[in-house]
Amino acid sequence: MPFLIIDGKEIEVKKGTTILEAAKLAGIEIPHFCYHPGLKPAGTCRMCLVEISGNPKLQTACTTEVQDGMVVNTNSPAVKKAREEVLSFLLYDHPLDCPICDKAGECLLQKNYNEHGSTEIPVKEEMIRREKKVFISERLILDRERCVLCTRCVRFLEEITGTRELLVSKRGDNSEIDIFQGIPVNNLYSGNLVDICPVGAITDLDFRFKARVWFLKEIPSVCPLCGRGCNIFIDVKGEFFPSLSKERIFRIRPRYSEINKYWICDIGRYKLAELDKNRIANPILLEPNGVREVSFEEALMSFSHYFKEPDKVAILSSYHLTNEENQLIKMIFYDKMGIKNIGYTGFRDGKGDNILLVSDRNPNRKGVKKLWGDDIEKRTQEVFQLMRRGNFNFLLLIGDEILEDENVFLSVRETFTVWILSRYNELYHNVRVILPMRNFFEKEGTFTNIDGIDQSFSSALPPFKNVPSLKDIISQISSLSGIKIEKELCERS
Amino acid sequence: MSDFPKIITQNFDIENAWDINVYIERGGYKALQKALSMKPEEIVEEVKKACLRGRGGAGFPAGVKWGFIPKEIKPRYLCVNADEGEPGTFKDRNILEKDPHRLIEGIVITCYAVGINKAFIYIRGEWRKIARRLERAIIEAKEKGFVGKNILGKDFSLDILVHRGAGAYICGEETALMESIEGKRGLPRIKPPFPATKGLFGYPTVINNVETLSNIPSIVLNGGDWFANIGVPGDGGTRLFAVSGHVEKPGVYELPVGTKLKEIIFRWAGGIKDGKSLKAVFPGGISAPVLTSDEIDVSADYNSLQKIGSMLGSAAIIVMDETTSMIDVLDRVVAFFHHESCGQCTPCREGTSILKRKVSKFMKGESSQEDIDFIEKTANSMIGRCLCPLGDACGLQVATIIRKFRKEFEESLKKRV
Amino acid sequence: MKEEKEIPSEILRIIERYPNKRAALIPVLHVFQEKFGFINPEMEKYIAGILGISPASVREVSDFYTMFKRRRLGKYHITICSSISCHLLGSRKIAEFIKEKLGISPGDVTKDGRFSLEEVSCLGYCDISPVIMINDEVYGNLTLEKVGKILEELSEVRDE
Repeated sequence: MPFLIIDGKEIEVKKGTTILEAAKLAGIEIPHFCYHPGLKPAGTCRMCLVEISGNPKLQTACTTEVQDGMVVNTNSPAVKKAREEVLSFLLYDHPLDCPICDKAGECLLQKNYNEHGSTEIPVKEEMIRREKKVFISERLILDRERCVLCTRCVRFLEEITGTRELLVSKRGDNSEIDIFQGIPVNNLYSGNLVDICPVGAITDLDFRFKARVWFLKEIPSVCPLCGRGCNIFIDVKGEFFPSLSKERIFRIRPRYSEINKYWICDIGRYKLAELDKNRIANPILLEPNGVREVSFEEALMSFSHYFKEPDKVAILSSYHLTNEENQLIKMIFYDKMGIKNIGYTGFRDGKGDNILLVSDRNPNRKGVKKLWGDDIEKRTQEVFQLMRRGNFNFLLLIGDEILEDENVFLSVRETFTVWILSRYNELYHNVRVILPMRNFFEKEGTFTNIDGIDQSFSSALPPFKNVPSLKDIISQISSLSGIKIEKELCERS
Repeated sequence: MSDFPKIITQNFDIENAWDINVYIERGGYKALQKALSMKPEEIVEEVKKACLRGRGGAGFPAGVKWGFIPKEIKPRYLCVNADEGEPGTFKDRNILEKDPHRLIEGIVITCYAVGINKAFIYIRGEWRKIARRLERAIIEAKEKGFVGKNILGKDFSLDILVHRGAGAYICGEETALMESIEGKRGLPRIKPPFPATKGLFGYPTVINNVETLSNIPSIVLNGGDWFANIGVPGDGGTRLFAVSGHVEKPGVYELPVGTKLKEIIFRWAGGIKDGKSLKAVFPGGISAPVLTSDEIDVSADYNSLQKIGSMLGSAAIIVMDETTSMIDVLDRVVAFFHHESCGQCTPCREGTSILKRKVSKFMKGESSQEDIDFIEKTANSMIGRCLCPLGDACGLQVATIIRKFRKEFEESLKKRV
Repeated sequence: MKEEKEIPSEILRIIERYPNKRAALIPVLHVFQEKFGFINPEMEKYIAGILGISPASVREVSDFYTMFKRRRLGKYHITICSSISCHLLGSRKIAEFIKEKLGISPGDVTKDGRFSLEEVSCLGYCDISPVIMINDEVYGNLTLEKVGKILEELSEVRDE
């Protein structure tokens, strides 16, 4: 294992480790632009130049592999000067867009300049003007003046997605990032381009001009839109958020984990916030003569008597509930209240790919199977059969995601149905009672992904208009049904 | 120094020497026959003994380069660098036009010595007619059994492919050349890995200049020691010096390595045109830092020129007389590097861009003293920072021109005011 | 995707000499440039299809190299060397003369489509500076008189 001395620190690293990676392990940060840990090193920005003893020329730390006995200095006067001058080169034609640029606060150019730039003012000519709003996809905008030609975007589309939509056109200072006309960036991972762009050259319509990043707070979480369970950050309003924006979810970004490395797909990135739209605030009773909002008590009173005949009750739950919620359902409904006809359903399978997206569009099918047994799918089919035969007086649906299954709607119209969910949808008119519950952002819990890995997440938002959690609802249902289970509930919390 | 052999130019004055029959009549392809009776390692030894340094510009010892090719890995490739683009250089063109079979014979011997079965000749795209002549020469050689399957009945086959460039000076850089053959933009690669380890299509590759390879037949026939004894210690043989600019007799001159630069200009190229006096010289194309008239008493070999802060490079000697405006010269130098920068790395891409704008301003008479200082500073910021020698050379050249001719630049400011 | 049998044999012959299809890109682009006088997006898409690479990969290359043009050049494309050796021997005067005579600037084509002009980097003919190339022909040791004669002769060549 090669032995390296870097800035006086001694460190042993695996063969093949670059100086930049070794420095990270030693707690030393080497400034860079074109280097990205998820991509092969390019060595073109020249920001990471360091001094290697015995070598008259500075070398790029991102491409140079550590050799045994190497002595590296990342802070010598020559290195400092090189950094200053590379930054001066980049800033010469860089527009002073910071006041209106989305990247402010997360920008590598700002960061590197702050830490390594020189304050000498150059003798400037007129800046080269370039196009500032080029749509490279439906939602991604390229600003060629801000671009520092680090080529992370081009390399991402070559190495990670293999779709190669972006190219560097021409050469020299005429070089520009471009697409082949009529063939925009069109793949499921395009949103990652915004993250990897070290400056504000690639932005997305989704977040453009929405908020300054220093007013946001990042909540670590796990994406619930497929079985992969990519780790994410959810950006919500921070403590000092200045405006009265109604928006609650600002951005979804990848969080590094062994599961998803540095990336997430566009479904998680752009569709997740929809889970917070069209929220239901109060219970609703749907009767022949009209629809009206009622109190929880009134809603519960309308159906709690059905639980007296547990054999006539069926419950359909969702693969999107957490392990904790599922344990509660099993403990209260199945064990204590004797309701045996419990099934699980969720979103239909979609197309998976060999990058991140899994065909199972539910986050916790594995967790449900672990708790209920692998035959839960078979048992759910049996429940559907009984539903079609009109076996049940009462049907309890839990979760927004079950609306995709046609089996559900064949019988919903004939049976007294209560649906516990978080968002309005056009199909709820078929049920009798709607009970609002907290959505994904407002709860904490654990999902088990398709590889059996348990991942916990905490809540990102406070409950919308004080809607209750599923735990609250279940405990109210059970106490109305005369079941005393406070002790177990306390243990569970 | 009139007693030296003509190695490369021996057929230059012979009509139709590019015809294989004329070449054979004058002793051609005898070296190949001899080489095939030797062991490949023996040939590499002779070339090492010859101290043949690369004639493309970098000057790396050819025999040593061949020795880096790992014994086990196949396939391996030879790339012949015929992308002569350094301003002032035209020596390889002369070889390709007048004696292409010498090059072909050198290629076959080299491939036999290193164990290569496929060679690419990368020739600049503008030379379409020359490329056609080269292709015809290869077909002629094939017909006689010097190229192709089982050469001269031996268990050694070689396919030679002529690959035309398409207008990019940077493709003369060895790694950019390989990128170009692979069908990509001519972007130089970071080294290491070196071509001998990971070259064309990821395989071990030797890249040699046209003139370098054209020396091989003679080295095989006469031995490495013979070649090393011409020239200076560590830098053997003769070189083609391409002299252009304000001389009476611009052209190619084959002279021993180490001939004095002064002698080349004044004795062989006829001295300064129209009786003018010498002002400045680029000793190795515009990538070689400019020399003033009192710096030309130097031996034209790699080490001697390096010692005085310049370089021999492609041995393209560009001569400028007293009427030359160094501002015009700077303008042409910067225009060239700006046009040919591949744009990959920050210092070269931005540096050549800034220099172009600043120098254009100078040409229009709109500059100030600050601008001269800024041009110098910008050039200095490029040196040693770039990914490949193009940017470094541009920075060093511009800084040298300003340093050595600063007075002229400052005077011009006064004149234009 | 065009099937193998639809690909012109000239192009197939090029492809089979290289270890992989992508390496054939520059020679294939040359075929199109020489046949049509320029490279357009339809050609780029077609070439991408034959070689199994993305159109963006073709565009990158056709954009990088100066010999691939975006629009048809004149019947006689004049390239004037603008590097140092030719400059020292008066290439600027030659350039100005040609621009005036033809009434066009570098990058333009004359109205009758006969001549186009381009300033290029060192052509490697510094022994006969100043130099221009017209299509594949090289003209060196130029004087204004010689250039005038050349242009006159080419202007009188009747179109087939």
